[in-house]
Amino acid sequence: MMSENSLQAEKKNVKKYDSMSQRALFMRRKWVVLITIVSCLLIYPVSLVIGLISTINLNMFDAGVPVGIKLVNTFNLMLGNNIVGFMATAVLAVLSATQGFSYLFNRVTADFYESSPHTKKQRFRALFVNGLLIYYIPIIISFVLCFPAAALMGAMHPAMILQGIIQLLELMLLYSAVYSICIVGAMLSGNILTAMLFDLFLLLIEDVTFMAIDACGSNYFATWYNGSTADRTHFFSPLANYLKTHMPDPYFGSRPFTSQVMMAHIMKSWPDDLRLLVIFGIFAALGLLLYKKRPIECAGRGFVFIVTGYILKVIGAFYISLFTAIMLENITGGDVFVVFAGVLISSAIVCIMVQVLMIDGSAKKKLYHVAISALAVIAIVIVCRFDLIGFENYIPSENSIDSCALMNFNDSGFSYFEKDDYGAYEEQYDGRYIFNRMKLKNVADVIELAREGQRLKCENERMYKGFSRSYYDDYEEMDVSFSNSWNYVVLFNLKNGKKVYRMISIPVDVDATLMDRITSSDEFRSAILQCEDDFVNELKNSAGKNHTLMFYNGCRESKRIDGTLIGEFLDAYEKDIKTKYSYSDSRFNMPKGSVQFNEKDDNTDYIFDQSYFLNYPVFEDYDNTIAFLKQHDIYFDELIPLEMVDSIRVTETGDDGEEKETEYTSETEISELMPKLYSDYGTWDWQDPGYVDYERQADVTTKRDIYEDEYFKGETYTLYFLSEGSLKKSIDR
Amino acid sequence: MIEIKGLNKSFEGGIKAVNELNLTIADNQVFGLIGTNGAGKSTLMRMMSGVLKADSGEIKIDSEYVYENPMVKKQIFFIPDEAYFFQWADANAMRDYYAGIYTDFDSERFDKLTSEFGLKKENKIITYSKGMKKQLSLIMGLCAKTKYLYCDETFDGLDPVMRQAAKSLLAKEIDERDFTPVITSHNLRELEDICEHVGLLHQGGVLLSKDLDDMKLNLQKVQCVFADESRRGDFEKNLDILIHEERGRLHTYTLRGERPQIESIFANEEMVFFENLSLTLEEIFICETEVAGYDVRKLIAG
Repeated sequence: MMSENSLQAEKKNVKKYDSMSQRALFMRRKWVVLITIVSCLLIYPVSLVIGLISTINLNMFDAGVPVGIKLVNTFNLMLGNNIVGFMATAVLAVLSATQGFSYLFNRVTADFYESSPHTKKQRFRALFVNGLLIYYIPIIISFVLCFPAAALMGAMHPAMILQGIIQLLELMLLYSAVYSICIVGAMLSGNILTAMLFDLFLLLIEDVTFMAIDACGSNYFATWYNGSTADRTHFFSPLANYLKTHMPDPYFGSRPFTSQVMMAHIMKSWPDDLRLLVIFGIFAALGLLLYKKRPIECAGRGFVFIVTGYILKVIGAFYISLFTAIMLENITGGDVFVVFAGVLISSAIVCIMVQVLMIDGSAKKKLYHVAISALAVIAIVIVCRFDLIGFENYIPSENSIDSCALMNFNDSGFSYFEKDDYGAYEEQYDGRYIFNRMKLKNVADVIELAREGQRLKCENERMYKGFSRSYYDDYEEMDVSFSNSWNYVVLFNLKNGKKVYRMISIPVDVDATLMDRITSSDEFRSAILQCEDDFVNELKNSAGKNHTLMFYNGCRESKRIDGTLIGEFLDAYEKDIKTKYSYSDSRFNMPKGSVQFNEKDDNTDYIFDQSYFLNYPVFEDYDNTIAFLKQHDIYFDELIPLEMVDSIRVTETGDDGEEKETEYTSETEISELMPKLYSDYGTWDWQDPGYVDYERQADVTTKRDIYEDEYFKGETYTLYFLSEGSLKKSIDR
Repeated sequence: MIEIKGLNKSFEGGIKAVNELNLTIADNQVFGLIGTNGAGKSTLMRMMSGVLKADSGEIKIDSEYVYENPMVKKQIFFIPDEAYFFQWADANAMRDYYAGIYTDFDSERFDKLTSEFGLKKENKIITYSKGMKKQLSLIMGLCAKTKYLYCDETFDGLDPVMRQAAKSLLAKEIDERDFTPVITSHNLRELEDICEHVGLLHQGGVLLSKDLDDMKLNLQKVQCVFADESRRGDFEKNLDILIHEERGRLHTYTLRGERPQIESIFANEEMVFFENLSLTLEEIFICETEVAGYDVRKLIAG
């Protein structure tokens, strides 16, 4: 029996606190609290200190950039573009949301909490806020701890304080949005497994939908243009919204952090941040609504609302089956039986798995769900494969089109430079530059071209697929040529604001008159060269001692001249482009060479931090450009001056594979041969894909020790004859 | 007072757990709810605690609806059939939790009772036996000082000594304050020495709800040996016999009627042996429900 004194002592020890107080909730959720605190501290202050120490240690091996800048960059990387922090935040949000409301998944705990004298709203509010505070407090403390640590180690920059606040708010927004979505997931679920399934579903459904659309488009449609999705808006995917502006920059380490960088980031990210805030608000409200509607007796059951289970089942089965179909299409080369069987089996597997999860016997098996998802996929496969929607041939009516654009898409798309957050220009390979600037008004011509281009693109795709399928069987017998066209993307800007993109293959024997009408237009000419924007202006004004200009024709490289002349060159080149550029000019003429703008290696000013290599093909009629080059003594009219050629050895490979070599040494022979030879060094728009004949090669050897020019001292240059049937043959005539 | 009218509750799959249930539980008495597994006892308790929402009908506690009503819920302490304790918590932690919820929580009494029941407060509850956990729950419920204490099968499985101790505690509480315990069990014998009023649940409805004393007053059980067995037939015509068992010459009657009336009838007949027997709750139920056409032996465990 306890003594009176000890009872009194015990009485004093009673800690009375409201069971729904934040303190009580923290106590009850101590494992989640602990995991969150440890994660935040490890990812931010601890990693920062380790990162700064590593930066100082590694600096001795790379003294090019001042260590202070590197330290600030490391600090910025740790706070701003910390991909581990992003992933941990998302995972912690899922954990906190699921654990916070996990009492609803068990009858015993549900009875315990729901019988306490609180309204549902009070309970939801307390738990909801607690889940937010579980992350907010440790992340704020972690961020705050980073600043003295950074200051002590010399990594502080005044703008980092605001940067830290912005990044902290963005992380908290990300957490809040994921958290509220996962609470909705928990409210729809009767156990942890289905809650996780719902979390994944809700967090990724938008991205998966986009993936499915892209996969179908690129797999089934030859004229599908993937780049049209680059600027796609994600409406309720917090992960995609956050990642869009926080993907680590590959060039990060070499750029200094400035206030300008921070402002650029804010300007770029605020729409996504706002979207995260809206997602948070909507899903939090939805979570409360579902919590109120949720019957407590469904604890332990798979799905709280049977209908949501059915929706998850059908949509899950649909997407898995669709991706299975696309995969099988590629693996089997489109074997209908295998594809359809795969769709049916995968659909059935997903439906059975979800049905097992539903646990509750009241959830009817409903085999027709398998049929719905499988048939939907099969319908999509049929529609896409046989193009029942007429996608491949679709061209908007002329009246509905406001303007058009054409973008070269040979390998990686149109290349241009765009400023990043750090104020440095990055080379981009997408259509944004062209599509935003080119507004072709000769719509009828573009439609005519697109119609022909779409037809050829589909034809080429069919040949390619036929080639792929029979690759192992009769590769030798396949006579497939993929050099019959130029790949372009055509954009129709409709009057109603919509955009229609199509990939097209413009045949090399396209009507030159039609092409000239399109390419000679002011709208076309002014958009194909990046010559009027900030990048060019900055290039003209800032290209200092670190940049050089030179002229190169495949054999001969001029001396390098001061890069500050780039402005003067661009002005001249722009004049030529705007007056001379046309399809015929590029198609039926060979450039005399290219002007190349390079960056020197000893760059320390951080304005341009990567090695630029801008290539401007110069055609014979580009008077302004040639005058500029001649003025600075860097122009060559011939590949190799005739007087420098010692001999030409022509090697011709016959149909039987036998090589026949002929040596030409007389001046007459050399002067006849040289104009027929071309270098394959460069590329330019409307270049015939097979303009040189690689079966007819000419090795041109220059004379020794006659000239001072360093390029011609007995070197041998490999040139080629034009292809048989190439339109460039007209040059010979 | 708890008033339940036309209460209905169905679960997914069309399971009708509570079906048009009407019940009144008066204040300051131990109310026992009896029924087989699946009769709807726990569902009713969960609805009376405000955990589950009724499909239709109403539950009023002291004239207030209970669902989503914290003021009413503050007057209720619910001990479910499987009580929950925080993971790794000891009795003190649970005391602190309930002390935060129930403003009148008597911590001093809690400490005293745990000590008297031999529960070590410093030990983690996870190490307690099932019976110890039930004892702890009951102590919590009593110390919470709520007007209503719902015990869902809390007494099932308690050893007789503990049950007796619990019964004494309940009786003491009723004597000392405004207190109404509601106890469910699927076993009549667990309740017969605790309850004053009993309700029998069957298929979600109340088959019977009566004061135990009233039922006992109107039912008698006697054993007798007739001096002249041939007179038994005429004698029985004067009796309202509910059950008659015969073992040799020894007859056991369960009869409807008040005790003096029955005794006077037997006094007028020559008997070799006569004795009044006490009725078990089971016997009372059998008698009461047979009238309603139910074979109560199938509905309750004895």
